[in-house]
Amino acid sequence: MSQLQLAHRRRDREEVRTLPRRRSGRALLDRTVPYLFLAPFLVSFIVFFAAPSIVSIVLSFYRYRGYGTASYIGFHNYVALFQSPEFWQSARVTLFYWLVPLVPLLGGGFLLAVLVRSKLAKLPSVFKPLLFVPQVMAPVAAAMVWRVILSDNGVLNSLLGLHVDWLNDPSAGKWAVVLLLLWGGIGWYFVIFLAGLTNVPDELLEAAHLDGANAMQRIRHVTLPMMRPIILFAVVIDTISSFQLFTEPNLLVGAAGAASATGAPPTAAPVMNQVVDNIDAGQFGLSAAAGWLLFLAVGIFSILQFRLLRERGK
Amino acid sequence: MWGTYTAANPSTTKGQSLNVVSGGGSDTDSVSKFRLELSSGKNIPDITELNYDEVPEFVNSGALADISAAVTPDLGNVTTAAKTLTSYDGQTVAVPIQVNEKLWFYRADLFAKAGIDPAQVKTQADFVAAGKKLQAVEPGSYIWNLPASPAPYQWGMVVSGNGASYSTKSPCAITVGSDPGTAQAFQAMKDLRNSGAVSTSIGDFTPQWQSALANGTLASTLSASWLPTFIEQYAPALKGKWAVAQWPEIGGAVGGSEAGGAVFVIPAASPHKAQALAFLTKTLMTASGASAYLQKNTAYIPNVTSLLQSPSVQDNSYFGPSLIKAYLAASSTYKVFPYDASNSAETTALGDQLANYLNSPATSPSSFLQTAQSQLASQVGCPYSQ
Repeated sequence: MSQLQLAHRRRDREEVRTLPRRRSGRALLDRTVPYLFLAPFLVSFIVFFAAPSIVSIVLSFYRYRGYGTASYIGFHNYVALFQSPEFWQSARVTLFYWLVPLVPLLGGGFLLAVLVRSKLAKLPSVFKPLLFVPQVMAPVAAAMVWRVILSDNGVLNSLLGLHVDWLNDPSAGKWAVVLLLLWGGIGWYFVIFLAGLTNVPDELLEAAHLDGANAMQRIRHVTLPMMRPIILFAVVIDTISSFQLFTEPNLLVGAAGAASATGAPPTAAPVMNQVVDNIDAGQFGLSAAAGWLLFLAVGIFSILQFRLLRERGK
Repeated sequence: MWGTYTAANPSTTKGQSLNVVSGGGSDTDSVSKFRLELSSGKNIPDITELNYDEVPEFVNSGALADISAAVTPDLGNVTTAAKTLTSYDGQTVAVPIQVNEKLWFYRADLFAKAGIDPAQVKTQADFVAAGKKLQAVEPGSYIWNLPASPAPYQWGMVVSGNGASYSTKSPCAITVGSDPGTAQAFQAMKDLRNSGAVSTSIGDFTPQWQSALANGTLASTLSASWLPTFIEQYAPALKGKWAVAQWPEIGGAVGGSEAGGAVFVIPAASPHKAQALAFLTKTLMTASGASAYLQKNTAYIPNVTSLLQSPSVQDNSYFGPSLIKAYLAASSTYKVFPYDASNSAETTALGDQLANYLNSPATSPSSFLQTAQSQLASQVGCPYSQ
């Protein structure tokens, strides 16, 4: 092999090397740019969610007042919560707030959506915003208004001729919260179901009509099966929001000078109060453990709902 | 107060300024904020206001400065009750602002109409009988209010005077499950709610409470010496009609207090301890400083003994002479509950169990106290652990 040829080959090799370098630089940039765009979200997610979550898991195994030294106590916080009658009482109250309004909330929202979309409703553009208005209202303001409505001499008792102490009677207090949840939530599920109904082809409904199906049969055998993913979404969202419930019971049936810092009496206090009350009492580890138990409960119920309601074969 | 202090001490206060920061909307907010400041080690205030029942937690954790050297010279100026509030567990850590004596506020006009002499109302039975007597002439009027979930200070005032305690230090353990004083307080709350003489639907610090104090629905209330400002604010038109007496014996409580009182403490990590201490002691523990504060707050009952003879104290503009008379009488039986370092958790657990007991058909509170005992034993363990 001559020297010239060798030089050529070296140059060729260099060219071969330099070209991919340019290309790989460009490719690197192409690969990086999306992450740069994602960076603000990723950074905030890590700083405000992922890192605090990891810290709170660690914290749940410690006894910590919020300052000073933290003592490792293993699973003691979790065991203490499982042994706590108050924790179970608040868990039962949370289940009440989830299950009691579930059917009227989702069923009512669905029926309203069907009605507004049907030919029976004359002015759907009026009903849609009207039904959604409670959802737009701030929960604090809504609770304050409902405190007036449900007071001893309030609108509800006056209209129905009742003498129910909605805000102070512990057994009536939970029902007062349910009323507020129904009023505030039905518009939200109405909108979700209305959006879902647009996915049900009119041709299918017309075909069912031509085959002799009445309105109820069309809803049961056509609309509901087609709406299955939307119903699943609505149920899961309702479960999550019910388990995280805090504002409504504490503002509606709580009082400024009440026993716990959060306000609601134990008979109407949701499980989120365990998280907040323990922070107020300087029991940060216990609060973190309560939060993670709540998270686990939401996860388990959501998985169960997905398994029960998802379409077969998917 | 700061202006008066700097004007009186120009050479020692040269270059100093006071920045007041709100601790939040409630006592709980304020304590949470203080905990966060201690946790971060940043923005630690030079002075923090606490209720005395919140002090043990911070003494136990070593977060407060020992201020005995600065406070001791002025201890002779203040009342016996105020002296009690300067220390916890043998450590001098606080400068008292307000001693929370237990006081019974009543509508003198309505009581006179019903023929009730508060001085003759000595026991819980007398108190209920007075309530019935009141309702005979003022239907729809109540002698106190205890809602389904009473405010912690309502039963806290009872347990502070009847020998109750929630724990022992040695051995370190929660003992509330078998504490007779707490059981007696719970029982008293239930008996009063069932008596018909007490409103069971009005909660403290609600709009209904404010209007009830102004419109005669509540003709009296068992409270503490912090209440006058609020009554004046809610019922300005009733000036001269509200008067003050001593508590009857409720739940076996003779005397006591509400959370002890309000105090200023200095964090151990405060960068300006000496300056903060000088300001507090000269303002609140000397006659010249406290009189300046008194001029700004006419409903304030000072802790400096010599100022108790001031005309504005002796004849309160709203309550007349009955306020200081009842206050001084209550001083003789002033007691502070034996608070431990886990008082926040204990108050929450016991408050919840009291609400459960009041709303159950059970006659005895023992099972509810046992529940609180097991809950606190498992969640808190030793109340003095850090």
